[in-house]
Amino acid sequence: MSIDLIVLPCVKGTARWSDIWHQWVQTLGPFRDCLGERPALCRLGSETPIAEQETLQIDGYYHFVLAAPSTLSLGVESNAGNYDEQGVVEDFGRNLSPEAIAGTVDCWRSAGFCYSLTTMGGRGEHEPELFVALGAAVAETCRGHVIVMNDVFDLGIGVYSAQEFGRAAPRF
Amino acid sequence: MSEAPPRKARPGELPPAEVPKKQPSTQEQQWREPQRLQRSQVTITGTADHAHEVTQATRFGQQEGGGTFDFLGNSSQGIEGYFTPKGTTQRLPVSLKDLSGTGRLPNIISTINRNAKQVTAAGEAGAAILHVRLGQFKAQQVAEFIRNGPLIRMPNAGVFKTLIFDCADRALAQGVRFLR
Repeated sequence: MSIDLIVLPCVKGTARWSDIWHQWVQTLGPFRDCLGERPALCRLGSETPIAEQETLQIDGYYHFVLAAPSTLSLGVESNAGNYDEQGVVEDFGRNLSPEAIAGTVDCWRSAGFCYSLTTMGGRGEHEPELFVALGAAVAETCRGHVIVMNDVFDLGIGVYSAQEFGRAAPRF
Repeated sequence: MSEAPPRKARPGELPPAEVPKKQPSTQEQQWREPQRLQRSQVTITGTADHAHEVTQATRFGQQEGGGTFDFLGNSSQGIEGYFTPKGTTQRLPVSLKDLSGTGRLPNIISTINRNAKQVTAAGEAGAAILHVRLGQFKAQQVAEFIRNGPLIRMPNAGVFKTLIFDCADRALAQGVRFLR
């Protein structure tokens, strides 16, 4: 089964691919060889890599071409028409105080978009570690928070900082 | 992040036990309940090597009367793999989702919309089947939500041939044409 994460940004404007890539390398530690020398990000349905300096597009969906097998994809989704920010954070932010929920909602509303990360069923051996590191890297890049929506990490369902999520142990 | 006590249900949220009994409408009676042939044999092929993936694929296959589920693995985009129903040579693209973590049905919409875009980009629009684990809700709740909520107006209608919601008490399945 596929597993999704949502990353709520706390800065306006979407990230550059190169910023995510370099943060991902830093976060990965011993698994960085899985990325290869030049990991590529392509729009879904295309095998043409986007430029390293390219900024991700809102409503854009991307997949990765890495040294290791990958089913990972990354999306950038507008809040409008897709998300009830308050309803989402209240639902999944079970580890947050009411004040932290309000602050997270304000940040996300202000940004106006979020990132979505997906790993598909049939993933490779080290993809869970790649997935955790990617979630932490995207959150670090946008100074945001990661929403865990399934009980597939040792953290449990909740909303976490980049540092907290980066230490998560996947159970899939 | 500071700790907080468990959150109570929001106004408007109905825990399963509080769902009022209601006679099914004509529309609801048309919902197809997938076959529950627990003895139907499902063969898993491909690179699914994690138990929970096999579990959901097997459950889907059993509900469809048996067959072969072939995980795509490395090349998968938008779907997990293809299901070949028993006795046929069809290869039906299938996406498996576990949305059992949410307490609010409206929060399933963004995930379904996202998957629809992924399926479309993967070139499987129109033929795909989406199987969703929603064991925290009863089928009647989900049926009412679809009928009265945004799912019935999904802008992505036409992407999924069939949506299957595996609920606490039974599974609901329906073709997208009905949902429009």
